[in-house]
Amino acid sequence: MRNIFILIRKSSVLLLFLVLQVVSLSLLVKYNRTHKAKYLETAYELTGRINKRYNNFTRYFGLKENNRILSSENERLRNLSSGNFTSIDSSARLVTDTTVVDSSQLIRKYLWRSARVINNSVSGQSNYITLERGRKQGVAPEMAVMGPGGIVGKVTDVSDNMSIVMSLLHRKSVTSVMLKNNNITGILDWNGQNPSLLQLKGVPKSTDLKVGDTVLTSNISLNYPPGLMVGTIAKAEKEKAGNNWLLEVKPGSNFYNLEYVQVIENRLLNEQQELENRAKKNKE
Amino acid sequence: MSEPIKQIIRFILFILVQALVLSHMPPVHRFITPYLYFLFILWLPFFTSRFWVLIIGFILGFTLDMFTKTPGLHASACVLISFIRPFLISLLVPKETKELTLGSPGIKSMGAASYAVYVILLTLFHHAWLVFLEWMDIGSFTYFLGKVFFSGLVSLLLILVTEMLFKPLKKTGNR
Repeated sequence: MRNIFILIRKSSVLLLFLVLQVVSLSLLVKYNRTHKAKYLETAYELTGRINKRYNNFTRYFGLKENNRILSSENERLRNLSSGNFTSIDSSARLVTDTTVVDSSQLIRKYLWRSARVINNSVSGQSNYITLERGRKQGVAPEMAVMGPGGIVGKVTDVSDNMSIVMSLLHRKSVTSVMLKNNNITGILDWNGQNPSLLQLKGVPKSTDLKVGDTVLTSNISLNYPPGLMVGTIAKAEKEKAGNNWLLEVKPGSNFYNLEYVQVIENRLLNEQQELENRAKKNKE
Repeated sequence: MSEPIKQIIRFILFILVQALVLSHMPPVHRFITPYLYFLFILWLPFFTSRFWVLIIGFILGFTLDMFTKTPGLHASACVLISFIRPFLISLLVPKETKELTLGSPGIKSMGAASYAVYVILLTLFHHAWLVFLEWMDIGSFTYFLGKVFFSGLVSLLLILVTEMLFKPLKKTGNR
């Protein structure tokens, strides 16, 4: 017994080293599997506050560019508003009242909330974005996030006032997308090498496409509303062995200067998932 | 200023510079991510016991992990170099100087050559372990080597600049 104590005391440093190494590696492995950790919530609040202070300061440098992006987006949206479209029929009566009478009982499926970006990384292998909007302000995990130029990622974790978004520039990010021209779906992910190129897989070789084609979110994506801008095809190659295209997609949103984004809630997500799970269970 | 307060201020400064400035730099190339924060461990005084170096290393790495949202990644690399540090010091520093000076590793206390070996070796260990963990799931060996080499080079350059800024080789100035 005494020898054991002596051994422990002699090698206490080595033991501590091993213990700390095991602790950090298990934290890493666990987090990589789930992207969630309870104790991190408090840490997010704290680091989020520091990031916010710093961001308040650095925001001024991007103000000009940001105004340009906002005004161009405004312009696009103004052009979409129904007030711009009038139908002058033969009786020459100008329709000015554009109020929609809701007779078909529309249900709201997607709800958009704007949020400010307070921390953003592009240099690592697993990039996250921190938003200053959390559980208390209606954000929940699995919600989609869209920037001014295109989709950005989806929420993985929330605390009371902050939320963490897994950016498209994350090695484990997977998004269902489609080509605009022919609605053929594929899977978009990132190989971790070049932050300005994403990889699109699963589009069959028979598909007719060319460089510059637009890629949108697909009709069957759970988180994203269909038809949101994702990016454009930057490089197209045919697989040598397989049956698919090897496509590189240039993302529409600029990950370097994100300032404000929209968090999109799918209000029918739970219903859909429940139904699908029930169907799966019935089959078994 | 007393030693603990100095170290705490240094700790906060290193973390803030790494988390808010260096980690936000747009990547020059996919191989280059500059790291500077681990210099805190290299600069710990000689008299810090091995036990405490390990614990401080873990805390330093874990604090940075909170900012980069990679719990355990930097902590693991810091614990590794904290473990290696005492062995290197005992190899590179003659026993008398270590007992006489209350100082910390530096060009003045160790001599330029030994200090350079000390910094380069620990930087390499830190980067190698970090990149190794990052690339555990898919292996591309050239990528691993390239990133370790170029990130290491940039970090060493940063360390050199920091040395020249904060530890000038004056005879009287004793920081």
